[in-house]
Amino acid sequence: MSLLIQRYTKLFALIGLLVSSSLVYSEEAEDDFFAFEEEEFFEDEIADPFEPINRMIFAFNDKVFRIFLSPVVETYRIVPESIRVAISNFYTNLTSPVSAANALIQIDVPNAWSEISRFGLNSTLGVLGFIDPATRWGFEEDREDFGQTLGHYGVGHGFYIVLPLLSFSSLRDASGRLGNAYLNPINQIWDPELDDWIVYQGLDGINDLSFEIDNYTSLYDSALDPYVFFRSAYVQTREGAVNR
Amino acid sequence: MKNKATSTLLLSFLMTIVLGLIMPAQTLAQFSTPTESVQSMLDSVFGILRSEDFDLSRDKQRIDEAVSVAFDPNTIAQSALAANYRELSAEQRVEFEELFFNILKSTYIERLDAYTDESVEISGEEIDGNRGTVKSLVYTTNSDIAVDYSLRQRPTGWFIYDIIVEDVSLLSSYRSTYRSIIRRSGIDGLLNDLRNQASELE
Repeated sequence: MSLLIQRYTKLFALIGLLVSSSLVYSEEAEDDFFAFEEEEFFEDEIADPFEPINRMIFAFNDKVFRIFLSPVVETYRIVPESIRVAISNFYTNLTSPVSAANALIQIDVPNAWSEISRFGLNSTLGVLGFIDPATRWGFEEDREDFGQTLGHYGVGHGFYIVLPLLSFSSLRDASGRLGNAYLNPINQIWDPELDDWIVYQGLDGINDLSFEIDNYTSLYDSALDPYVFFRSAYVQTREGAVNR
Repeated sequence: MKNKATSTLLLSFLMTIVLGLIMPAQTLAQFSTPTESVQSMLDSVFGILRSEDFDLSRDKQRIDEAVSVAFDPNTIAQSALAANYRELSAEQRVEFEELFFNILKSTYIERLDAYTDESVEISGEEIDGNRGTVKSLVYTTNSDIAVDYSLRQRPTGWFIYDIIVEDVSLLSSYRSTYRSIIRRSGIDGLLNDLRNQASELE
């Protein structure tokens, strides 16, 4: 009996040795640092049922960007950087109440408190938000919006949307924009004419672009299919924002 | 007298051996942790970019070399193609590796060039087996940009295979792009597109 067991043990040991050595061999031969598992690799996938339309809008946005916006932004860059930073601070400050509300809905009290403190400090001591003393005092910006809140509670993107002139979004995040706009204090105290509104939004966009424009063009030029490249980047950005 | 000459000879012989042993160890030591790999790459690249008489067209080769030694082109190529990598022939693998690595490098160097005047600080390191992550922050006037490096441990040290800027993995984005091209026009189509792109870059 014990001899039988001994034989079996030897047999199993032999099989084990063969299997493990073949594994080691295949690992060396194929160099499996990556498991090549689809799930691990394509976390940046998103449903895109309207891809043909999205591609058209993406191409349109890019043309508008290169023909009209890019020269405007280049000219705008004569504005000293310190002033552009102040303008950026002003617009960012107005998103603090939005972030605070969304942090509360996500039951993230420390972040809600931090954003409320930011808004209080920067709106007063920071002269209507043009200066950002709050960051220096340890209240760092952590933007939260309605799209992130929906994502936090498990709502998926739905599908990918490229918005004309407003760039990348998804069904979830585009719906979230309505909530964000509602909570932005500027909309509570100011009811502008359409052209004033366009100037206000346009300044925000162009000011932002004055910092980002080179990133966009260099990544666009490096990607063989910029549409897919930026779609992936968008999904990853939002995923990171939701999980943070 | 004769004895002294012999001992001098012996000494210098020993010195040569000792130095010979130490020197390569020192050059390797800069890659002995993920942080050291990234730090030494950043130091040498910014050293060139920030020098008084910097000239992009003249110094391009030097920057290219400084970046190249810190990266792992083979792992990068595998990661960019995922499962499709298995379908490539040995020649195709070599060609893809070279073409893609050049694109990645030139994009990365272009971005580094834009941040010449900003300060970069390494803020953390994580190691999990033979994978490592180095976290860094680029302090720009407008905001702090989080740039993470993924590294792989090889027998000779740690080498970068991905750069993650504000949650966006460059490799993931290229991977999705290349997969969509392979679906449409196959691996030959992708290699063809990359060749055209490479000739435009030159």
